[in-house]
Amino acid sequence: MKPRGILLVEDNAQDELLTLRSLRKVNLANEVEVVRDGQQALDYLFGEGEFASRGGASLPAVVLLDLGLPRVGGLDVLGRLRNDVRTKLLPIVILTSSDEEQDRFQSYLGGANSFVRKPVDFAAFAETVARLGVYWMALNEAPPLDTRP
Amino acid sequence: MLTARLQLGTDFEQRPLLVLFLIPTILSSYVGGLGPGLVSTVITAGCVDYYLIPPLHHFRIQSPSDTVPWIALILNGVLVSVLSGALRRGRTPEEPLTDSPIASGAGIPPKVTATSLDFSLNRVERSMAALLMPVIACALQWAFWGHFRPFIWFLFYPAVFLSAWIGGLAGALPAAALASVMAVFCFLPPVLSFSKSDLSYLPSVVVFMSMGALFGQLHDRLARAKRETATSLETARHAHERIQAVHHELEGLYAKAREMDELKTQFFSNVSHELRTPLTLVLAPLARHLAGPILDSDLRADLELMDRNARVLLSHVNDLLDMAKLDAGRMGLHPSEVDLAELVRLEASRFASLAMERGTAFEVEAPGPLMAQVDAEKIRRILANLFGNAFKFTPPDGRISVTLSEEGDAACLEVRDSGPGVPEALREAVFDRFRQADGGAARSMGGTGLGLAIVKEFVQLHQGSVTLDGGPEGGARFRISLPLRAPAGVQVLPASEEASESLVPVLLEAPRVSMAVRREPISEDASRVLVVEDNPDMNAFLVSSLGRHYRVEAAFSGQEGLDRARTVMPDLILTDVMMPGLTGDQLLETLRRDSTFDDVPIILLTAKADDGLRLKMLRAGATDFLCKPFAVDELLARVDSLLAGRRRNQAALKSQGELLARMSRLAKVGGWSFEVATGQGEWTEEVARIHDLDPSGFASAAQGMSYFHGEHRAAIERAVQEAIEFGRPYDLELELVSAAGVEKWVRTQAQPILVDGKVVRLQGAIQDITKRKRAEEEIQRLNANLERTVEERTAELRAANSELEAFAYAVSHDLRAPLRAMSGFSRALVEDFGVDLPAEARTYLDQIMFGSQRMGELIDGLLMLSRSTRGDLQRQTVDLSALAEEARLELEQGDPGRRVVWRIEQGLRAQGDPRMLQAALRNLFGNAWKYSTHREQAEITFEAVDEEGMRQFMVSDNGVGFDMAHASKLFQPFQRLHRQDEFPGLGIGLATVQRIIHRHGGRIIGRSEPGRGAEFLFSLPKSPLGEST
Repeated sequence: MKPRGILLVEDNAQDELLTLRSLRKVNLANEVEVVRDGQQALDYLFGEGEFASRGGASLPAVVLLDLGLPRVGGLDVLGRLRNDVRTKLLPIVILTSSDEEQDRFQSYLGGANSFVRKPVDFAAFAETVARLGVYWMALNEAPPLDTRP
Repeated sequence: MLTARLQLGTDFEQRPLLVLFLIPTILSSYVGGLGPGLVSTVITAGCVDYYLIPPLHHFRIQSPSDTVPWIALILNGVLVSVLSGALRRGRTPEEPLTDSPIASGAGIPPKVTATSLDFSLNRVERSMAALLMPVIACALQWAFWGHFRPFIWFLFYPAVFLSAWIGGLAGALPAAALASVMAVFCFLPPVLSFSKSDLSYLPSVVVFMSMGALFGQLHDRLARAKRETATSLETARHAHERIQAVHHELEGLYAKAREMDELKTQFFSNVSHELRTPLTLVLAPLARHLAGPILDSDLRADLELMDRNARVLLSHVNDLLDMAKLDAGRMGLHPSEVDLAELVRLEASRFASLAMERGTAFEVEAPGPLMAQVDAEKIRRILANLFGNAFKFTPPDGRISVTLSEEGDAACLEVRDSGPGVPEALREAVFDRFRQADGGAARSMGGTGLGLAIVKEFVQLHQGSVTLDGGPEGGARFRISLPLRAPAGVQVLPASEEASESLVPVLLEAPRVSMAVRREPISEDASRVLVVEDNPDMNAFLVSSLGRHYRVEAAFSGQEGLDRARTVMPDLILTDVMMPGLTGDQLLETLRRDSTFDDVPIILLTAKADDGLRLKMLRAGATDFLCKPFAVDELLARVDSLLAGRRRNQAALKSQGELLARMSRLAKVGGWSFEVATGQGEWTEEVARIHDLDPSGFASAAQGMSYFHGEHRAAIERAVQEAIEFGRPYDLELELVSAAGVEKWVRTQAQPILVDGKVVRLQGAIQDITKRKRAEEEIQRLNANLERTVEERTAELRAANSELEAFAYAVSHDLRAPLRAMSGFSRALVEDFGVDLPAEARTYLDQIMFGSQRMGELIDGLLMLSRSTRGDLQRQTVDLSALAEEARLELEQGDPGRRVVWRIEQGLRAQGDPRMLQAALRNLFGNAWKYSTHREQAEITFEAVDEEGMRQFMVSDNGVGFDMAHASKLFQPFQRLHRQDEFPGLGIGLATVQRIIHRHGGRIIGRSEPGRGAEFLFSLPKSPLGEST
């Protein structure tokens, strides 16, 4: 079974770069797949569209999901994932610049497993992302595959 | 007396016979009564013993045969004395001894006669008298025994008979027993002994006793029968006396009645005579003047009026006089041989002109000659009365027919008219005196009611007959049957050709020409008087009397009066009571029911001084009375006074009315009223003005409602109907379209007026409220606009707010990412290539990092500021002291090394949003904490103070304070009064606090002097609109 990695859903290229840099520092960069908007994220996870060839072979260990995404918003992506039997147990971490209460509330309501604010200060940001990656990839036990029909 | 008796006693004492001594004893007791009788008895007994009974001159009795008469003598004396005493008492009775109804009857003295011994003695005395008889018999028989021997019962039978007579059964039985004993003892041998050898005497004793009982019973019955007879006799006598008395009284009354009747007849006769004389003296000169040429037509009219009325009066007097004569029995019949047919034709011809004038068909069918022995004068009266009667009751264009025919030895006269006829029930009564078929004041025709009575009396004088029936073609038919020959014993006079006065009754059909009485020009504003009087002369008189001062309208019947009253609206009405058809009192009642005539005085003219009628009329609403005859001055005075009063009332009413009109015009309120029954009514000028109508127009409910349309019409109709049906008042605001087509809003109110629980009238007010209504509509419109504006503003605000939120959201998301990129890549440069970079480049990179960090803080501050008042204000009671403690705790935990003296007043509460207030307090405390950093002994205080008349909360410190010259910048965002290197900060805190306090409707000020700390006071009203706590 192919080791499951991290799916980063991030439209901002700079943030993507900084995030990948932070993950590289803790040697997790190779296991990161990046998609740039909500629709791509859904296609990737369900094996549809441009990712049809993947055939939904495997799911990542964790999805780092930004909220402000083009095409399909982060919260919508969250909703669709939670409504699908294949992805309803998939660990999803909301990683966003927002510190709006409203976003936090909606995210947890939508079934997010965690809500992490991207600090503006890069040092803090780098550390946050690094700890996130280590936690989800090393410490967290993935949910079992849903064997129900 | 006693001496006389003693002498009497001595007179007889020498007599040899014992029996003679009985006589003085009896006499003594009879004359002297009980006492002297007993004395006499004793003396006699003594004398007898002394002188007559041997031994003589000695008071001893030797022989028992001498003792018997002696004892008998004494017994006799005692009994006689007792009886005499009783008799004497009976003669001088203080009260009757027997209680018979007669004796106790009023005024009849009890009779004491010789035969009344039974009644005057009581039972004991009668028994004693009865017992005396056998004793006397025994004594007499003893004395003359030689003559009677051997009949021992000889004297005892009569004795017992007498006893029975005196004492009845109760007397007879003891007497018979005593007699038996004495007879057996004294006369049956052996004498003076009861020891009898021969018992054959016993049957005789039994027979004797039976006889005694028989006598007693017989006498008892006899006595009772006598008593009963006497009682009956007395009763009869008494009754008879009463009848006599009543009879006497009746005779007195009858005499009195006859006397009264005579007096009445006399009175009528006298009065009539006394009246005739002056009437003649009035008529004669009048006739003379009327016969001559009269220049002035007014004078002629007056004279004719006088003449006519004098003749009416004369005919009434004649009627009364005839009646009086008939009553007095002094109406004699003076028949002569007359041609009846000619008489009828002649009398009928006198009515011809009247018939012409009235247009009545008057047909006379009297084929003559028809000779009859009649009293021509009386026949003419009969004819005149019958014709007059027919004319009176026949309408002007009616028909009257007269036929005379001969039927056997009688003449038959028939008078038929086409009038209303006489109801069957009254056909007998019309011949009664003073009787008229339709009696009372409503009678259609004048007259005294004597005419037909006279006809009947006169016909009966001729021994004829008169009948009344309906006739074949309706109306009345009088049939008179007169014998052709005069009644037997009446002297028939030769025909006479005397001229006779016209007997045509003066009917009250005076030509109306006479009404054209002098009229002086009367000013147009003179009061208008309506005269209602059926008598043309009286009417004309009233009109002329009043015409000098007032405008007078004349009406000749009640109905005409009513019509005229309604058309001319008089100021005063003068009406007769007795009128054909509608009478004066009915006219009065009709007018009083009409409110139009409420204040019109009505004077009633009445001939009857009848208090009951007056009371009835006054109750019905009569203003005043005038009794006929009346003085013209009095009439004028009353009319004048009533009219003056009415003018005063009207003036007062007018001024009141003008005031009311002005007021109602000012208030635009009109009053209205209408009758439920007719729908007619009245309204004030203002009502007409509201409807844009002519104020003088006629008012009606239907017209009033016709100005409402559509739903308003339906509403008013429903309200009016409910007011009428259920007596429910209403108060509506409706729109109408006036006569001029103007749309107006009115408030219309109504109050039902109830009479006997029924709504008879609606009264109400109507007010023009168009202005108010328009104002209300404008207000409503403005209100609606305002609401819309507010809604628009609110929507705009809401939109702005949401834009702001979107902006804040965008800021929090999108501004941070570039900042992070700046600081991130700077740091990456330093970390990855730091060793290769020149020192200067590192410094620049540090500045980039610092700038982006500062920028991030600013963005966070901005977000906090915008977030501080976002969302709804959750107003509730907040414990400020507790919030202050929390904020203090946070600060102390943030910098555990600092020591600050806190003074937080406990129990401070306010109304507000706890989240926002907590943020405010946190910022204020944070400020105080920050700016007191350099103080050795920092103090921070939170307390409530009363300032500017309101309760405020104050946060104060003893920090560096600030310069009041820059106070205006204090609450501006990003404005700072200290340099960043002195006290780091964004300048957002106080701006946030101010926004929160303002959001609560409160105010905040800050004051300070540099170096002496700062005070921040804020207020929190209980509600956004309230002043403060």
